[in-house]
Amino acid sequence: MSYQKEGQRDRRALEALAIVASAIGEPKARQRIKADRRGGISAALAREKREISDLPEDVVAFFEGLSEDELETLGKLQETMLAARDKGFPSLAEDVEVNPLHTLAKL
Amino acid sequence: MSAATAPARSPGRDLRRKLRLVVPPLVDAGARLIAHPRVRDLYPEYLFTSHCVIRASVPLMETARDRARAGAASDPVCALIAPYLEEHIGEEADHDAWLLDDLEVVERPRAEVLARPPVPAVAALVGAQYYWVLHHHPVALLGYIGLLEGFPPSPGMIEDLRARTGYPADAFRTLVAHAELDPRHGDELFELVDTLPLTPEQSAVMGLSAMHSVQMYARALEDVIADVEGA
Repeated sequence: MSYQKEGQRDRRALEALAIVASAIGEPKARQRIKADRRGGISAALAREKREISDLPEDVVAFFEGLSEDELETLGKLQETMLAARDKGFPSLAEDVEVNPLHTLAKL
Repeated sequence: MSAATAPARSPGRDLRRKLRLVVPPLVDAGARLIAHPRVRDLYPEYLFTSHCVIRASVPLMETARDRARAGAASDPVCALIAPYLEEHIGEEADHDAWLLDDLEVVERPRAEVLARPPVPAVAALVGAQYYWVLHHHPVALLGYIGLLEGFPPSPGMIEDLRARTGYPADAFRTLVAHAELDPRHGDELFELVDTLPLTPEQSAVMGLSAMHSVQMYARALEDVIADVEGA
């Protein structure tokens, strides 16, 4: 795959991820994703003229593997996820460029 | 996608992804603290909060290790995490004493630090781990460790803190040590998680523990900033 095509694919993956993250923050969309992970994600992406195939398959599998409680917690962190998108924080798609994240937290 | 091409499950990678999704507020809180015009006043308070967390690390891991040992005969996840915790307890021993030394450098005597009640956000951060470990499953603690060792301070952050606070280098020894040690500790943790035959419930509680820890640690840092601003 050419560098240019790879960049386009990564961009679509990032956009798709932001759409899914945003959908998890909306109660109705979150309920749909809870009831049917793949169907709910597809529906959320279709509303923005995107397809589930824009996401790497292992990222879709990641969302499929989240429990209902985890999805609910993520939903309540909508601001977090929107901030992550707006500030260009690393995505879940590890084949997309990832910046290291550093915190002041220590064990 | 056919089963033949389906990506292999990777619980360690999934835990990293869950953390990456929710960690930005904690990154932001740290950045705000470092950039704050009163960072010299904030730093001793941050060290105090950090000590409240770190003083609990070894006792918390000992509790989880004991629970894991008790369940090891019938639970393969317990059998795998007990030796990991045993080894990690040794690696984290005395780090709370290091922090007390750093606090002395910023003129916070250890007797004063130890007498002061820990803040509620830290009680909520650490207390939740005890609850999950004692009343559900010790694997929950790996979400907490994944956060605290997976996103260590960078050398650049520490240098920025040192320059902006004006405190001597001895006030940053614990931070520097963690910046050096935690990347390896974090990798070891996520590699361990990858080997665990987790049930969906065990995976979920580890994820919830990680997400809750981000929220509570970020709140603790925000409280440090708010308290100094309100003083």
